Amino acid sequence: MAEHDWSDVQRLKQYEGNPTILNLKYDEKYEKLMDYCRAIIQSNEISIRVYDLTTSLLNFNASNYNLYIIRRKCLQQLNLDLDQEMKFVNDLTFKNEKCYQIWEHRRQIIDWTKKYDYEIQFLQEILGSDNKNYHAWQYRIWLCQQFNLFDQEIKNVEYFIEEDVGNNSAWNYRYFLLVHLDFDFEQELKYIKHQIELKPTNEAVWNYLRGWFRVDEQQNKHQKFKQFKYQEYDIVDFVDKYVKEDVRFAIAFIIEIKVHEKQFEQAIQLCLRMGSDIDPIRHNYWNWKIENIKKLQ
Amino acid sequence: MIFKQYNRTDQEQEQVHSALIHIQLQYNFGEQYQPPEEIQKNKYYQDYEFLDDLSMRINKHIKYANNKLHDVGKSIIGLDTGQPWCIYWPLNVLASHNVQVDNQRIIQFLKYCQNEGFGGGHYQYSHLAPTYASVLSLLILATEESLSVIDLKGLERFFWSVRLPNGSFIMHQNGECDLRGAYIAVIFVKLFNLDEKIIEGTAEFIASCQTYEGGLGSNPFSEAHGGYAFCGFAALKCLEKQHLINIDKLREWLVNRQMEQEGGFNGRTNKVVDSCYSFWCGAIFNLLDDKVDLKDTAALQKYISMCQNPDGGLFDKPGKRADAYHTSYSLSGYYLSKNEIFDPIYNIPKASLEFARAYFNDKKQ
Repeated sequence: MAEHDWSDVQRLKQYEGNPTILNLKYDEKYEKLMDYCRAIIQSNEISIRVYDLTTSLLNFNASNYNLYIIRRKCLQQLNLDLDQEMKFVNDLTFKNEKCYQIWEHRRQIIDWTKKYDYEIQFLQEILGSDNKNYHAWQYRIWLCQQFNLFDQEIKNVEYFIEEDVGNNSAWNYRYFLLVHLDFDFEQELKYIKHQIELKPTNEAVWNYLRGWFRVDEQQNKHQKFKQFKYQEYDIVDFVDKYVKEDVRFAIAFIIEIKVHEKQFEQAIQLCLRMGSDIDPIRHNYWNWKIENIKKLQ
Repeated sequence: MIFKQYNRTDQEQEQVHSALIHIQLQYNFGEQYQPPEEIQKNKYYQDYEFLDDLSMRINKHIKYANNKLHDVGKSIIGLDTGQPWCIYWPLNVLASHNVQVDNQRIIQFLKYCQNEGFGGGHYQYSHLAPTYASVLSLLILATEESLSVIDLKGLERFFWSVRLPNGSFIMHQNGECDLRGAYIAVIFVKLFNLDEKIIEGTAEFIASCQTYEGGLGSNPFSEAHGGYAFCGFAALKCLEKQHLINIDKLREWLVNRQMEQEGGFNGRTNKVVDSCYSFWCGAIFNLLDDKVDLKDTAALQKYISMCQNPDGGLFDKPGKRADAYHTSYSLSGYYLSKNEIFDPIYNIPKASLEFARAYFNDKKQ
């Protein structure tokens, strides 16, 4: 990268040399670059040297949001090569996988170019490093909606569940996909039951199972949801098997159902078991539940 | 070549559980307890420094916070665009125990960051996160002088500039949109009596972020997460619109964030414990209107106590280093679990918030 001439720009110091209460100290090179950056924020200059300045500074701190504001203006106004930019973004992301700003930058560029072909492969690599990277999954949701990738993604998500059945981000993503697709819920129930059988103590799959059924009355009208009636599907007997094995997630589901069916005594008995033996850390919650159920009796 | 990595959830969880179990046993039985050889290879166990007892060493943490407030030095590099956080995190700790600070120097510093909203440092663009940290810091100081610094008209203009048509907010011009923005805008629009049209539709947007698990995610359909659940629910509570969401489902998700082995909270289903969720998840309990304590407060407090560095500061979990962020949120969570000191929506001392409320209501008239 060429060294640019900055002699026409006056360095803009942060605090005029006076130490602040935080007693901030900087690397000389970084401070110099930031002094120019501050000057640029004031002058609104858009140029190649400014673009290169953002590159240098991003290598010091990829979460510097100021740089992205400037850099995106440069990309657009100077009509820069966005394929090259994506190479830079990919590299920077691998070094800063949990940085808000680099993921938003990626999102905006892909939104401009519509060139999303490599994105799923990229996400595969990122999720290979941390299969629950929140930024990655959030980005994936946007990507899928933006480019209507639901049909291929419903196949892709199985990889993540197979690899790590406890991966709640993957289950959450699966829910998102199916809300947007026509699907056979009976088939899905079979899939869920199979995953429960593989690991009955997996909280993620139980939350996922319960997420498809509306049992209680309280509603959130702003949620985009699909809900089914548990009475219409073969589920209660299946869950009961795990109640007998003291799986707390199964018991929690049955308690919800028992209350709905006004089998209050049975619900209370299960809550007592939970609070004393099976789920003692939540004993206050289960006792509170019991008090609430008693009010319904 | 991407290789499948099987069962990472279980492997990670196993490591953390194992370390915590042996640490707890050692606290319970002292010298009598001999942990197995293999535990020495456990990264969460090996560098853990045992305390003489599990009392909360607030004086050590105050010293630590005082040091952080006055001597960030070169470690600023990762937070150079979030300098106000370096004020807020330690200041909240110091203020919690009425430790005097140099108000003048703090106000002078934050004035530099102000430009309608506040930026991460002098001459930076305004950003909602440093705005939050800066305004809270000025509120904590609770003097006419610190409060009069806040440019209310400027703040209002800044909030308008980052509002999206559906009532959500981006964090800065051309920035990312997620629930943090909505929370920050709501709590200050309400406190400072700014134009309520700024937050029109915001409650409904927040509600649309509730997932099938009952918690809230960053955006619609994103995974339920303690940080965003706090932001969303605190904002709804501030607006008195909690009932837009399914509170029963939120509550059930929330109680399940408490880890049976560790006592602390995780942020998402099947993730590991982290002391900062003592606040993000813990404070939601304070915001629910259930007149009883639904969590195991003793277990939570015990976990937080185990996360103390003998020299001051608190950390995420054994094996991790103390930092200002974890110190601040662990302590907020600790005192909130006793309903002491802090306000659960603003996470500043209640006394400071009361002063601010009185001041800004006076201004309204």
